[in-house]
Amino acid sequence: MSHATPELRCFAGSLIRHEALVNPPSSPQRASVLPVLDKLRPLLATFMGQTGYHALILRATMMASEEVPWLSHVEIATDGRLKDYAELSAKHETDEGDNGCQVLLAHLTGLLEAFIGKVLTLRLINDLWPDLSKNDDFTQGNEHE
Amino acid sequence: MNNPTDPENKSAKGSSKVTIRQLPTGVRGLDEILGGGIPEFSFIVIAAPPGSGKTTLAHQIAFANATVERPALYFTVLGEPAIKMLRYQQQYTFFDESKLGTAIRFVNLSDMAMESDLPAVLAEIVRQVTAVNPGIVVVDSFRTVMRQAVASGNQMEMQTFIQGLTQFLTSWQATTFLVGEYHAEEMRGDPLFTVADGLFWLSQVTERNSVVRKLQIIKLRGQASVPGLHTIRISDSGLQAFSRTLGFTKRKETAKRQRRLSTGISELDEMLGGGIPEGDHCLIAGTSGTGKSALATQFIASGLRDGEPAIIAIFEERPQGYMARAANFGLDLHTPREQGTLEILYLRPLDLSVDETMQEILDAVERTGAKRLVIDSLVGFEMALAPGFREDFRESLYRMIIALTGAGVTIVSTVEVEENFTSMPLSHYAISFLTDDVIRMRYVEIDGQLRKVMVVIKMRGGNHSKDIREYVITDKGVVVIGPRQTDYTGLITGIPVRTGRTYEVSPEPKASQ
Repeated sequence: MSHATPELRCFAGSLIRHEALVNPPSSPQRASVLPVLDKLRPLLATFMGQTGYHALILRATMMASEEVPWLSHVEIATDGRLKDYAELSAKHETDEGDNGCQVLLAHLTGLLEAFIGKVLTLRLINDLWPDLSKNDDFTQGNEHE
Repeated sequence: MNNPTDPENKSAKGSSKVTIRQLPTGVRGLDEILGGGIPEFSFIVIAAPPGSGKTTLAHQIAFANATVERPALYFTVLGEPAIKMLRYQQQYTFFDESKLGTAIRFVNLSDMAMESDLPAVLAEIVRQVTAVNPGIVVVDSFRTVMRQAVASGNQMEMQTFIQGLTQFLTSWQATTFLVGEYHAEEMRGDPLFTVADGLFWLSQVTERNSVVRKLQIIKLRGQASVPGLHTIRISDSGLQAFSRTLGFTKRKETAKRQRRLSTGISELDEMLGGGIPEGDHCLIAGTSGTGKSALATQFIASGLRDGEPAIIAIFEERPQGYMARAANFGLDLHTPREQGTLEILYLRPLDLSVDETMQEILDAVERTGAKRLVIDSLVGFEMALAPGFREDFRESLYRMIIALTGAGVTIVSTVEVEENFTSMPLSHYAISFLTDDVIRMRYVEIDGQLRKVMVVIKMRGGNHSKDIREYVITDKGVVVIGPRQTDYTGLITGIPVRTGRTYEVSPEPKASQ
């Protein structure tokens, strides 16, 4: 079952764009999920351990790859880093915009939400991105039809 | 003149001793058991078999005390990861998500514990504590760390770890909780229990099909905790503890007043010398159908009419049924219940402890300001208790009555007795010594009918009528109809012998042939 609801995708997109604005990438490339995951990883590893985080990102990647097939080729290190994500993304995402990033992050957030609930998920994210806009449907609790 | 250097000088000793601040546990009833709270900067072990509530207890303490300035640092080691704790602990009402990340910080040491040795784990704890400056430190589960050292046969490393951890955290002035899975037989000879300032032992006691959670403060340095096994319950609000001395410690000394409370039956009030003395425990004993509950309800209704809030604790019948039956006697319990002057407590979970029941009733007394309480009935109350508590029913009842009458409440309790026609037992509990007043209701066979009589057996507070009076139960409840019966002897046996010649009309119609 997909946890990446339209609200979560929208929220993931906002988060990726926000991080790109706060910490602009050094090279002229599209906003990537990697800086977001680099921030999330240590925090989530604190709560669930490195192995726990590895399992979470692995499952999120597998779920996301049903929609974005190239994600299945991403190699995940034992500490949960996405080893060759940048290269694979540059190769495959010519016409797909930020789709892979967004779907992956939406699934990761969705898995977290399913486990600890929306309030705590947002609480953890808010600790890392306190200035993140709260105007999207996920943050505001709006449901799509 | 006092010599301040004299060790026998009490005033000098009194002024120089350190004051140990006591931290609230956030667990209702536990501070009282601990003798005021948790001694600040102490090193406490929370030990229990799985499923006894130790992690919930640790969380409750952490949430009750953590502030942004002095946060709680919660280390998870080779046990339940923090993310899982968050999933389950957020179900409790004490969980405050706004404290996460600021006042309460979780650190998962499981990776380190698996990959490194104990000195590395200790170094990481020291590093985190130094960085965060916590007021509360929890290591959960501590036992897994110990097991790892024991499995590797490195006892000295384990001892060094314990010593290092206790010394560092005590010097850092953090109140520390080590949470560990222990079984009763493992408690002997563990060096951890020697160095700990406090040892909280949680357990689950199984008796037939009933399981009751227990708490024992085996050790607590520097203050007088309440010894013995205390009942605990885990509900939506987390743990709640019920001291085995509940009621005794809070007993209020009330001035002995002479006020008499009406039973709602004027003839019975006369028999009682004006009513039931305020603050008494009055027992109504009788067999099934003699009108014990009706009389008890009339007592409550009489108080409500005089503006006295009341509580009815029932065990055998639901509140709606109880109120409907009262309505048949013209007694309206609905209105005062809606107005909040009457609470009907329906207590029947079958694994209750007397302490929990007492707490429920004391809470209701505090809420309503109740002056009158009916316990209907003691037999039902006993049945609602977990089997393990039934053995101590008499002792527990004693504590409960002392606690409630000490709080200024006048109690009327009913008890069903087995009727026989040779004697007049008061109850099968031998509890009449716990009661100030006893009213006995019973059937007697007269003139081919089963009729009812009542008599006041005992009143501690003064003289009372010794008359045996006949009564009927009508649409007005219990109604005493006759003066003292003088035409019969042997009424209390139930099979009286007619000795008089007075013509009498049967109080209730006889069937025509």
